Order: sequence, then structure tokens, then C-alpha cells
Amino acid sequence: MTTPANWRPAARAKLVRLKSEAEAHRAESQRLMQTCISMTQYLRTAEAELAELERRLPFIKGEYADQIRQEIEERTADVEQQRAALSAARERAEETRNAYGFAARLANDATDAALRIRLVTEQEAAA
Amino acid sequence: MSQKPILTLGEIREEIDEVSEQIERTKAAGLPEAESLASLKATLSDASVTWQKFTGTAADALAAGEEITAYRLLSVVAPSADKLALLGLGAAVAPRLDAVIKEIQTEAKKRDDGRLRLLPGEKAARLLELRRRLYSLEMAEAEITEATGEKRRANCNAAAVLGIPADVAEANKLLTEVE
Repeated sequence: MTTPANWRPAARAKLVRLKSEAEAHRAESQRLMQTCISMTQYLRTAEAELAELERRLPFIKGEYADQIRQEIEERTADVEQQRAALSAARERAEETRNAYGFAARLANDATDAALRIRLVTEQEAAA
Repeated sequence: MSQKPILTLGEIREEIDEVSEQIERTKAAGLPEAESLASLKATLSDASVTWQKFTGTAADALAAGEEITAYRLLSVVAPSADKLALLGLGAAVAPRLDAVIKEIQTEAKKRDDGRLRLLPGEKAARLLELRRRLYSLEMAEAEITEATGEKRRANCNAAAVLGIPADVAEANKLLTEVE
């Protein structure tokens, strides 16, 4: 294996790319975390509304009771769907967080290595 | 002119695992039996000599009709914690030094786990050779992942990913440290 004579600019470019990869993973991880938080809030609201309908049902008679039953059925299906979606989103968020951890570790190690061989200055490393 | 066989990413990673294991085995290598035994003999002999000095000091004090205190005896032969430990060890082994060494050798044979045995210089040389080999594999791995976009190994070497040449990496202590 031969090392190209101009390995230094190539290494600098790789370092920049590793850092931006880590940043992209961080942003994606944060976005998914926010999504999970929103989904959780939405689910809690839907669960509370469903519970309220279930609490009221025994006190309602006639045609209106049938409507409530119908609504409970629809909302139960919706809540179950939301739970499944939240579970999948959490899994994805976990994967992305791990990917961010790996990318951040690699970018940090690469920065340390670059500093050690004076490929970049302290200022450039911190940028 | 013979050409080096081109390895696949999977083959390179298998070899990385193998070399990493060799590095761990080498790091765990003990001294050759003769050297290890010589250090045991030297330590126990040192302890025995300390014990003999202690009994000599006690005998002198007794012959001179001194009031013998622990401070008087220990201040001569065991003025530090290390020396005191050596004195204790000497008291235990001095009367039967050769027998103790034989017993330890017999017990050590039962416990021999077949680990590598190397002199310090040999160990350092072998570790350097293995780390150089590992780094060249990591460079090859990084080239492939760079070209194909394959997922990087979780504990890939950042210096190799950057493409820092082996001689520069070695001079700057960037060859992989296998934990």
C-alpha cells in the first residue's frame, strides 16, 4: 500500500468531514429525541381523553352511548397505533444516538491525532 | 515479482481481530521461567540477608548487655516499611530458603497457564511489530470503507481513518493501543 505524497491536505479534508458527520448525527439525534418527546405528549393526551370517555360511558344511555362506544373503539385503535409508532421512534432515536456517540468519538480521536502531528492548530481543532 | 494478495474488508477485519488478540497475549506475556526464578531467588535471598542482619544486631545487643527494645533492633535493619516487610519475609523463609523455593516452583508448575514468556526487550520488539502490522491493516480497512462507504468498525483507529502514514503515526505514538 502506498501513501500519497499529498496525504496532509487529504487528512485535513477527512477531519473536516468526520466533524461534519458527527455534527449531522448530533442534529439528527436531537431531532429524533424532540420527535419522541412530542409523540409522548400527544400519546399521553390521547390516553387521558380515552380514559375520560371510558369513565363517562357507564353513565350515558341510549344513542349517545353507542356514539361514545364507537369513539372509544376508534381512539383505542389510534392509541395503539401511536404506541407502536413511539416505540419504533424510540428505537430509531437510540440507534441514532449510538451512531452519534461513535461519530463523536471518532471525530475527537481524529482531532487529537491531527493536533499531535500538527496537521491543525488548536484554533482549527476547536472550530 | 510476487504481488500481495488483495484482501476483502471481511478478511482484513478478521486479521485485525487476530493481530489484536496477539497483542493482548503479548502484553500479558510473563518473563521466561529462568528470569522469573532468578528474581524470586534474589528477593528471598535479600529477605534472608535482612533477617540475618536482624539476628546479628540482636545478638550484639544481647552480648553487650543492652536493654533490647523493638526500636533499637528495627532501627538498624528495618528503618522503612519496605525493609520491615523484607524482615518479616526473611523470618519466614531464611531457615529453609532452598526448600521454600522448591515448593514455590512445584506450585508454579501446577498453575502454569501456558502464557507467552518473553524478555522485556523481546516483548517490546514483538509489540511494536504487531502494532505496525495492525496499523497497516487499519489503513487498508480505512481505504476500503472510504471507497465503498461501508460502515466503519466501532473501535477503528482515527489516525488510520485520516490516512496518516505509518511512519508518522509511529513517530507520534498513534499506532493502535489495544486495550
